[in-house]
Formats: sequence, structure tokens, C-alpha cells
Amino acid sequence: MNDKTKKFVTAKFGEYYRRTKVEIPTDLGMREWGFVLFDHYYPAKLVMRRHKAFTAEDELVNHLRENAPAHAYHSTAIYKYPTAKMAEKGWLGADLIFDLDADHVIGEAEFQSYTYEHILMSVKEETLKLIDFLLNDFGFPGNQMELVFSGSRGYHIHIETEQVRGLGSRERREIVDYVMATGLDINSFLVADSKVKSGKKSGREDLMLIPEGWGKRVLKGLIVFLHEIAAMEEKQAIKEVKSVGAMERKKAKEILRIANDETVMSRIEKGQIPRFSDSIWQGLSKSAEAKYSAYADKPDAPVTADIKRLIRLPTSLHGKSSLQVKPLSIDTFDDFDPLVDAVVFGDSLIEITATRNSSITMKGESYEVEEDEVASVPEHAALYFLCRGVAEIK
Amino acid sequence: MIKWRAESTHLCFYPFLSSASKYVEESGATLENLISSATFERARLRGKARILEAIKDGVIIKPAVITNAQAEMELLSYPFARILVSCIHDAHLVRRYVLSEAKAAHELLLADSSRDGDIIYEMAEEFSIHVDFFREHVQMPFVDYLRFTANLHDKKWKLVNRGLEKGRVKLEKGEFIRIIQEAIYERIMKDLPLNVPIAVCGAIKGYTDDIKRELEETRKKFGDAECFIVKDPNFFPPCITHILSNLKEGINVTHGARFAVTAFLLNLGLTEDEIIEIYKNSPDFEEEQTRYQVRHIAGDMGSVRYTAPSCGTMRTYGNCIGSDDICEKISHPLNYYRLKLKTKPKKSQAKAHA
Repeated sequence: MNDKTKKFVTAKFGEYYRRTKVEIPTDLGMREWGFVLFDHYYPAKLVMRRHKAFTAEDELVNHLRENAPAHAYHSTAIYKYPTAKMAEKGWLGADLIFDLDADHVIGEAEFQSYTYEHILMSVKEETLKLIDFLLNDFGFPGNQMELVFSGSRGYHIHIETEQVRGLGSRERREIVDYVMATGLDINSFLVADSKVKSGKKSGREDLMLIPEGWGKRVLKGLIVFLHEIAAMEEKQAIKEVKSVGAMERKKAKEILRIANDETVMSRIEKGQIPRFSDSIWQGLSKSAEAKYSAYADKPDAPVTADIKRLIRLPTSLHGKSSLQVKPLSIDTFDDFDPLVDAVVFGDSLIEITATRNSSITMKGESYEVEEDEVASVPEHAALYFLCRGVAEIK
Repeated sequence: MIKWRAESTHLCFYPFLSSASKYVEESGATLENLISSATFERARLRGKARILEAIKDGVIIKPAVITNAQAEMELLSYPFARILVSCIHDAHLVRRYVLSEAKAAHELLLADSSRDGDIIYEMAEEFSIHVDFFREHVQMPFVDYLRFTANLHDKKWKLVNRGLEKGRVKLEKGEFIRIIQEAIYERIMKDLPLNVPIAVCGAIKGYTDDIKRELEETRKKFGDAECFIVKDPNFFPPCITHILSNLKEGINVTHGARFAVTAFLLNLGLTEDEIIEIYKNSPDFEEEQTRYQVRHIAGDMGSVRYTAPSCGTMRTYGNCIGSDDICEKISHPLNYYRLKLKTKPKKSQAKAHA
């Protein structure tokens, strides 16, 4: 990014901050702030100017208007002395944060073949899964979760209730492990059925797979798998069970028999698990795992576990995309299209010189530039290419 | 609350309750009386016995209490034991004592609760845990659950393995009582060691000397294996050895690996300074920064006291390097150390081989 481009982008970002009402986080005065500017280091070296604090909304707003930063962050933590050195800040608590980013959702091998639109779609699916965990398992009311488009390739969720503020790093790690199914042990959910009258117990009654928390997902995975193999041709089904359950042919056949046995299946569907032999249960567990692992989520775990993280200010701009870090409503999340809804710049034509081949679809229009080409594109597309570092201002 | 609960015969068995400390306060017994008056000699002897039982048996045996006077002595022996353990300045002893008290309370609670269900309500209220009681189970908010299960490492306690619905964790009653033990541990550990004036420690030297003697003898008999005073690098797991050798050679080590090695060594009881020494060869060494980080991991700054990462976490972050056959048997680097320490050849045997 050359100086002329920096000047242009800074001016545009500044205009944005002058016309926009930015979101003020709770406990404004107790948060640490950090900014990366379009300065002479940018973008070769990102210098974070941190340990700042604002006591009043005006101060923050003016700071953004005057500096038009490339990136604006505030601490997830609240501190007694937010401007002090890390060791002396006096940590008082922190919001609970989740970060879903393409890097963690999509494998490296797939990354190359995915388009930006495709990437955003996958991350959205993971975000919907996370919302389900937070609403139904953790019981956070929807209005206490702030869902935010990260401005690039992911989403953030902020939870700022008193209840979670005091959680330490270990506790947050447990929460992340929960949504990622890390350390999940199926047998923890398997208990003797307490409904069976104690007098009649013979030790051979069905066990219960408790359909709560991960138990319900485990049960669902098990049922889905058994239905799937029941619907296959025998040869193919046995091959599938052998590979997924890592077991020999004889045992695989036995599992297939279970899947085809209507009375056993109707018990399993109610969460009643017959007392199978260890090797059969092991095979079934592995098979269920192959299914339920798809229900696990893939957030960036260290972000959640870190109690002193800086996170992007919702409503600020992302300096690598020019898109808005946009607060979203869970109800309308399904319809959100970042390349339409997080675009904040206008349509007047701007001349740019491409330095690399690149393409983007914004507001339903596709733009493609080739290296050394001079192109006249709408302001929002121009800012995207400039911020991306694939073009300079003409 | 039921009236008899405020009585000393009940309180003396749960001396960490806030109503118990209130009772002591109102009884008029002063610190001076407690440490020197002949009236309280029985309380002092019992206080000493509490700690000796902790050292020898790892649990504190509750005596039969019939009269109010007996109950008061039993009750007052608790604050005296806290003073004693504080004067001795031994972090391992403090932990062992607190754990023994908590275990004793847990056993008693199990027995009492089968006779009188109300006592669990009382405990939940005491520790401000918002519990819903059902016939077969209880439910508690996951936030409280996480707070009190920090030291419970069995996989069954992991949140992911619990029935969690709408923010509430389901527990069997026995499991909830186990969690109360953790709350009790936390309560008793709070403020220990107390800041006892030197003059007071001097006045009760007779008691502390007896305890120190017992402590030494026990350590001699059983070795220091459990206390982790031996810090023999030969017993470190390969992952930790690998990180340490990289640090020694000045190779830059990732944040995750630094965390792992620091937490591991802190868990073994190395001091802040000993650990900072290890980092001195790092290319980016800054003493102040390192001290800050070590303190943070040690939990000295309002954060959680960290336990070294488990084998699973080490694997996730690519730090499980050089795994050997002992690694097969353990799921935590600290257990590698414990296991190897336990199986180390005794000195005499080593001699015989030589």
C-alpha cells in the first residue's frame, strides 16, 4: 500500500467514522483499547498502539474520527487500571468470547479450492452450531449474545453477563472443550435404567443413554449410523462398519444385524441400549463418533480461553477488507450476506491500478482486475481491492 | 433454618461454616486466651492432633462429642490448628492439612445427609450455590460447577461429559456432596497461611515443634514422593525434557510449549526465580515480562492456578514429542513424573547393582 493509497483509504475510513454511530461497549472506561493505523509501517509491520483507555464516549468517537484506524480493538477484560502495564492492570473480569474463523473451520488442503463465498458459508454453518450450543446447552438468552461479523472471514460472539465475567481461563477452556467435544467419553452417559424397579433387576436390563447435553448428540449419531447401514446393500454395509468401527468382519455383521432388527432398533431409538459385549459396544461407539463428531464445533479455542484478549470493536472497519465489523441479529443471521450487508462504502467510480490478479463479488456485482490493469470501479469495490493490497489508487 | 443447627454440638463438626466462626467470636475466647490460658489446653491439644492426624492418616477423625463443653473445645481447636499450620511455613503441610479437613467433612456429610437431607441445603446456601433439588438428583448452574470442579481431573467431571441443559448441570446427590468438599477445601484454604505475629508463633513453639518432628519422621519413612520435593529432571516426561533442552540451547520455543513447561515446573514446586533462570537463554528474554508470565501461570494475579496441560492438550498443540512406553500408561505429564518417581530403584538396591 503506497502513501497515496494510504491517504485515500484513511480519508474514507475517517468519513465513515464521522457519519456512523459506533457501538460503545459496556464498562467503556474499564477497557483497554488498541489500534493499528495506516501509518508508514503499514502493512509490512502491524504496530498495535495499545494500553489506551477512554473515559467518555466522545473521547472514543473523536479518536476514531481523527485517526481512522485500520483496525480497532478493545479488551474483552475489564480492568481497574486499563492503561497500566499488563501486570498492574488489576483484572476484574472478562466477557466470554468465541471466534469462528475460516482458518479453524476449513482444512488447509480445502482452503485453496474454496472461493471466498464458499468459505463464508462454511463458517456460517459452524456459527449456527455454536449458537445452538450457547442457547440450548449453556442456556444463554439470545439477547445476551452479541453476534458480530468479523469483517473478514468469520464471526465473533460476545457474552457480557455478570455470570460469566469471573470465569478463569481453565473454566473457559472447559466451555470450549464442550462445544468442540474434546475429551468426550460416551460411557459417561450410559447408566443403569433407574426406572426399572429394583426388585426385578437381573443385571441384564437395558442401559440408558442419558439424552442430555452431548448424550443426545451421541444417541442421534448412533441412530443415524445404524439407519444408514440398514439402508445399504449388505456387502457395502459390512465394508462401512468394518472401516468406521475398526472391526473384523464377524463383528461388523453382528452390528448390521442389530441395525436390521426392528425391536432392538426401537429400543435404541428410545435411548435404551441393550447390554452388548464390550467389542460390539466399542464398535458402535466408534461408529456413533463418526457421526456425532460432525455436530462438534470448531472455534479458535485459545481466543475463548484467553481472559485478556483484544477483540475487534463491533461497528468498526476491518482494514484488510474495508468491510464493517457488523453486529447481527440471531433471528436474521440466516439471511446475512457479508458481501452485501457489511459493505459500507458508496458507488461513485474510483480509478485504481491493480498490482495483482483478483476478483470479488459485492452487492451482487462481480469485479475482476488483472495485474497492471487500470480499472474504474465503484468506491466499495475499490476500497476492497486497496485494503486487500491488490491495487493502488491511480 | 432449624434451631439446633446453631448449636455447638453441630457446628463443631463443621467448624469452617460462617455460623461456626460467628459462634467462636461470640464465645468471648480471645486469641491470647486461646494460645495461653489453661482453660483452653484441651482445645490446643486437639488442634495439634488435627494436624498430626492429617500428616499420619490424611484425614481428621471426628471425636465423640456429648457435652457443650466438649463441643466448644472441638470447635476452638480448629482456629488453633489454623494458627499452628500457619506458624510452620510449609506449603505442602498446609495443603495436606486442608485436604484432610475437607475429606473429613465430606465423610461426615455423606453420613449426616443420609439421616437428614436438609444438611445439603444448608451447605448449598453456605457456599452460595444455586441448586435445584430433585428426588434423585440435583441441578446447578454450569458456572458454579466449573468453579468447584477445577481440581477434579477424572474425565467424568469434564463438562462435556455431563448432562448440560439450559445452563444447568445434572448431578447425582453423591456427586454434589463431592463438589461441596471442593467448596469446603476452598473455604479452609482461604487466607492460609495466616499472617500470625512472631510473638504468637513463639508462644506456641512447643506445639509446632512436635508437629515438625512428626512431619520429618513421616517424610523420612515414606520419602518425599508425594510431596514433590524431589525435582529430578531424569524423571521428567520426554515432552518436557524436549522443551527444556530447546530453551537451554536458545532455540525459540512457542508460547504453548513455554506455558506447558512453566506450569509443569510450578506444579512440581519450583520457585518463580528457578523458573525464570531457565528462560535466560531465550533469544527474546526479558526478565520482567517472564516474571509476569510465570506469576500469571502460578495464579498469583487473580487468575486460576494453572495445572500443566494434559497429554491430550500437548498433542493438540503439537507439543507431545518423544512419547515412550510410560506415556502409554498416563494421560498427564505430571503422572509420568509420579509414576517414574514411584518406580525408581531405592538407593540400597542401586548400590547392590553397582
